Amino acid sequence: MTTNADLRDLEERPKRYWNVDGIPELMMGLVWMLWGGALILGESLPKDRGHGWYWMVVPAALVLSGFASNWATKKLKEKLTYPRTGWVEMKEPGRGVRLMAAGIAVVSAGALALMIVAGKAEGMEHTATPSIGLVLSLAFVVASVRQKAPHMLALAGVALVLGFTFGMMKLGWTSLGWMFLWLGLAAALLGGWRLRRYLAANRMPEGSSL
Amino acid sequence: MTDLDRVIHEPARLLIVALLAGVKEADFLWLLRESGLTKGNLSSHLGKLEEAGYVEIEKTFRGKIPLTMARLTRPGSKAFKEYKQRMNGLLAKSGGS
Repeated sequence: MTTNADLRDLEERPKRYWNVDGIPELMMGLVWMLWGGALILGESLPKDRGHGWYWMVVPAALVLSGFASNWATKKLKEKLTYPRTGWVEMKEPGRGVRLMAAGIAVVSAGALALMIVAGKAEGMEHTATPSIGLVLSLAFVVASVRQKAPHMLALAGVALVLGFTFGMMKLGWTSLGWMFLWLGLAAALLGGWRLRRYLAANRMPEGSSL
Repeated sequence: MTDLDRVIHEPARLLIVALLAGVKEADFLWLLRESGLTKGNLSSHLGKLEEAGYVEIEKTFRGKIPLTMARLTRPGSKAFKEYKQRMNGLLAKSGGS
C-alpha cells in the first residue's frame, strides 16, 4: 500500500528534479562571485562621495543579478535539461510569496549597503563574515536534507570553513567579499562538474535539436 | 475502503497523479522516467485519468521538439486531496502511520 510518506516523496520529486543537472549551483556560484567581486571592489574604493554612490547603485544591481540568474537558469534548462530528461513546468509561487521574496531581497541588500557605508559598530565587520558563513552553511544542510542532495553538504562545509577563515583574518568587510568569491567559485565548479556528468549520462534524443 | 476513489486508488495512477500534483505540467518523457512505467502502461493510465477528467493532455511543441504535456485538472487535484484525507482517516482508524 502506498503510504502518505510515499505520496509526499512523489510530490517532492519535481523540486529534486530542479537540482538534477548542476545548473542551479553553477548559476548561483557565478552570481556569488559577482557579489564578492562587487564587495571587494567597493571596499577598495577611496571613502569619498564615489564610495557612497557606489553603495547606492550596486546593491540594486546585485538584487537584479539574482533575478537574471533565475531567468538564465530556466533558459539553460530549456536548452540542456528538458529535451534530455523531460519538460517540467514548475508551479509558480503566488503573488504574495513573490512580493515577500522581492521585499526581503531589497531590504537585505539595503541593510548590507547601509552597514558597510555607515555601520561602524565595533567588531561588526569582523563578525559578519563567520555569521553569514554559518547561516549559509545551515541553509545548505537544510536544502541537502529536504531535496535529498548530498552534494550540498560539501557546499555547507565550504561555507563554514570560508566564513570562519576569512572572519579570523580580520580583513573587515572585504572578508565577506572574499568569502562570497570563493564560495561562488566552489559552487560554480561543483555545478559545472555535475552538469558535465549529467550531459554525459543523458544524451539528447535523436532529432530533438532546438 | 469502499469510499476510496477507484480511479486514483490504482497504484500506477496514484503514482502519476502524485507526480503531477507537484508540478504545473509535465511531459510524457518526465513521467516515464519518474514513474518507471512502460510507455504503453503510462499511455493507458493517462488515458484513463483523462477519461475521468482528472488529467488534461495537450500535444504541443517546444522549439522543434514535439511534446505530450499532462497536467492535473481542478477536479483531479480535488480528488487527490480527498483521497489523501480518506487514506489518513483510514490509517488513523487502523492505528497506522
